[in-house]
Amino acid sequence: MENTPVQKRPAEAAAEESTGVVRLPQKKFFRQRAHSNIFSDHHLDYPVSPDRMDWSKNYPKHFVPKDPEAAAASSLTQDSGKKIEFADIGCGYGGLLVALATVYPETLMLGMEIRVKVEEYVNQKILALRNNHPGSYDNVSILRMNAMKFLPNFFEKHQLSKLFFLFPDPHFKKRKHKARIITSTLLAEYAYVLRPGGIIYTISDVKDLHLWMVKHLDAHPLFVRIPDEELVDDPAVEHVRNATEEGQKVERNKGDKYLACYRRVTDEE
Amino acid sequence: MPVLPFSHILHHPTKDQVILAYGEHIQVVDTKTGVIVSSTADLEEREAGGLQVQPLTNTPDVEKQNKARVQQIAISNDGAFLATAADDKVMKIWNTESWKCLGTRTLVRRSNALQFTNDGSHVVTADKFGDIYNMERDIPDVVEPVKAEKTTEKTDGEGEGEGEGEDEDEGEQPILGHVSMATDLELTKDNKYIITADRDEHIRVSQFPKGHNIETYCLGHTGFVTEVRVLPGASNQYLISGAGDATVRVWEFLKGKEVQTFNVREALGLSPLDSESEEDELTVYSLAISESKNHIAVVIEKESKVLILQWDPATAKVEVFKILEVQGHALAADYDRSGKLWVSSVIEEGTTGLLSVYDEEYNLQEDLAKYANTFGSKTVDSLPDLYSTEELRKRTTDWRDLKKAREEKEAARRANDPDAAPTKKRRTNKNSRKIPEPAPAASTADATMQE
Repeated sequence: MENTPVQKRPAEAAAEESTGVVRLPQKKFFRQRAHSNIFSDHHLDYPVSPDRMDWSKNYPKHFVPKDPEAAAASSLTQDSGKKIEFADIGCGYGGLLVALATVYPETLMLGMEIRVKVEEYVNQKILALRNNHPGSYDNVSILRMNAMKFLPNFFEKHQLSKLFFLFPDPHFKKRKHKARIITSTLLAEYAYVLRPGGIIYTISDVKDLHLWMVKHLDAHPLFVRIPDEELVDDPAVEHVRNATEEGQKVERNKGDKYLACYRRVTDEE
Repeated sequence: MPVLPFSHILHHPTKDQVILAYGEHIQVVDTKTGVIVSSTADLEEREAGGLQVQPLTNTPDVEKQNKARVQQIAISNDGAFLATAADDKVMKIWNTESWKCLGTRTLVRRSNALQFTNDGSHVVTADKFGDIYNMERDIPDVVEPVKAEKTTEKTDGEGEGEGEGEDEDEGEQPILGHVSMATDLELTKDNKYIITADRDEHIRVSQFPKGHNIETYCLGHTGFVTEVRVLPGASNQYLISGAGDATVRVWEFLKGKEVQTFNVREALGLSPLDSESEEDELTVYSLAISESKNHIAVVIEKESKVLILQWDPATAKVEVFKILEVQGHALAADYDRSGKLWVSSVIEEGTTGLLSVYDEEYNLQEDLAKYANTFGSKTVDSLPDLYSTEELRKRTTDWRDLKKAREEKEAARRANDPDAAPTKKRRTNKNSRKIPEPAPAASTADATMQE
């Protein structure tokens, strides 16, 4: 099967054994078509509600398994008490998460990606990084998920402080616009999981899509654009621009990058 | 030949009437006498067994009828207006005195739920694509889409103009939306909140009409949600929901808290599932509530049993009050203003039991059902499947299983016919690490020969 770990050459395996350093997975073995139909019924595992999610597989240093037997075998006696605060929707090959993991070492962050092979790649990469840098990267993980449908199954109201939508699928055709990740109706769900004061980061190399996201966010009563000068002090912004694989590709091709960040506000009485 | 069942039953809030929908028509029955008083179609002449047809109070306007099946009906709180939505996406507003259509309007997508706001000025609809619209009731009598733009997932044609900045943002905007089929909606009694349900097991509580403020979610169902209704009681804080997971659940909805899970299979005394891993597909199809008695009639898909639950607002619990056995399969139910229960059934042959009426003590009142059973609805060649749940069920397979099955199929094909060329559809792209399998020599030769 294509997404199983690549067979290592004996010399490579021996080198890993002696040094204890695991080689990072190679992207070329995990390529998958860039688009996915988000309206179809994918076979996904999601909890009925956030409180029933067992995060121990994703963050073994922070969560005790829900299953009593597995809990007994765990090195933890209790949860670290932390909850996920950053979510990267459509995280792709995970460049942003890997970069932010060490910038915000105390913050749990999660990537959601619908493509199976890409998820597998990021997963292996995180495991390798954890192995090679003990004590780091325990705060980062990925799930294969359709975030447009199941975000409230994972996150409670106002749980998140940052949501990232970096280089999302442009869905150029007009009849596909409903599949775009930023729509008026989906923004209500993002506002639900995002706490007041939390930030949505968007970036795209496709100007049309950027304008579209800006138009919808500007029009939404619960989001206010953060002026560019205020973004200078935000340590996440640099990585939003440069850490993702897509962002680097745009850089190589000397393309433009359009950034727009919004703060979650409230209009409730 | 069978007679079309009544797909919907709705009580008139201020008169002793129930409104019955069947096929593309609606009929009104006097709940004191059982007589059909109004109909949008002429009554069929049938073997009456001594019964006299009573004259209709309206004149059916046969010319204006359309052919689309009524899928949703709702009535305003004052009883003055009825809204219907049919499977051709046309919504109609009716005057409930004259039974004349006041206006029609083509919705963007098929409606799965309709409800009037308290003041009757707006109709809220939940559609197949998950969008919820809050529309003015007084609609012009023209058939025109809510939005000018065409939104079809099926036609795969190119050539639609792009990037002109005028797209789906034109026209009426939804007040909220699910990325999944919306299955039901309910406005709270004070109209401050709107509760919407979807095929992906979610129940969402949002502010109304500012639907962008999501209050909470009621999560617990493990199958598509079919119906959500606010339960009677002084506090109006409890919600009841039915779903395709064989349960009815009670929620403290503003807190998103489940307070009771009620297992319908157990309550009906049905045999448990054969295997434990099997998902229970027993589906709660619809709920009818009697505010005066705090009773809930639970219609279960393709079942002859109708479950009557007693709701106790003090303990916030439902329990079995009674199980009714109807003829055929129960399809729709509602309590009328005086607390009598009207149940419609799918009857394969004949007309007896098309409609069953029960008094306040759940004794069958055959006199009240006989007119509708004798003259109501219409004869058809065969019965359509009127339960709209098939599209709600998910038939997903793990992609690994699909892949395995495909590989096995391919292997079997190659085994039977060693000369067969690899399936074209599975062409590997040039970036794939998979080494393309060498095409069998024979087929290469074939290809050259054909040239």
